[in-house]
Amino acid sequence: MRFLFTLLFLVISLGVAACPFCRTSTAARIREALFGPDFFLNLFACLLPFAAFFMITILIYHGGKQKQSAANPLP
Amino acid sequence: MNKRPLVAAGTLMGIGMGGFVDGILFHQILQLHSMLSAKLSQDTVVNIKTSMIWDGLFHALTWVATAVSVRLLWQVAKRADVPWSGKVFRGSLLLGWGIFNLVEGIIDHYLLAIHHVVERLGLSVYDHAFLGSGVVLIVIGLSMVRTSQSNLVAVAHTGYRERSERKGS
Repeated sequence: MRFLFTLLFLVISLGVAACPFCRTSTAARIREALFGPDFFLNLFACLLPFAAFFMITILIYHGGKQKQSAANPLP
Repeated sequence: MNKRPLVAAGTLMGIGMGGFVDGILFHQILQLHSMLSAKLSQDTVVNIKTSMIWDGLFHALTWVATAVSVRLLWQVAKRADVPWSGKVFRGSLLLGWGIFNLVEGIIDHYLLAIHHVVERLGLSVYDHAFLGSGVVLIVIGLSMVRTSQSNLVAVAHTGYRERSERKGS
């Protein structure tokens, strides 16, 4: 019986109840915090560095490609 | 010879791996900061859980960068006009890691100020060191990529010949 109660407490512990898409009050507060007025600002903040990284990679990949190939043709 | 595709693949892989160092070491193991730790104080379950979601997005984007870099490297391996140089690749990895530290540091730590290296200190010497490490890695990476120039033609010709032989056999 004691084991079952322990198991029950583990199942309904705060960690489990706080999963962001659960139907609990904690989960609802997480969703409020996540999709609040700053959502798009936070999304922009997360995406901006990666936009820069991909632009830098594209620049490296394409920059001066033709010039290099012409200068050093393959045998 | 055109080493840019190899440099691009290595740089993007370095960006991805640098991102994983930041995310795994600083966000998760040491827990010095999280993606939005300057905006969300890390003292409630709701804030910590919300931060975990934004950290997850950061890791997902880092994974995408790494996956794209593997694809680029795969393409490079099949091209005869691109040198297969370990030094260029290693230099590119360092270049990418440096670019990650520099760009992420400038945007997230200084311009947007959504987190700092050691969040409890705010903007501190550790943020300057993070940027500095980016510059150092970029300089080392670029020098490795550039000094390999003299070896590239020989390496490329060997690689071209080997690949041609493989196609022929």
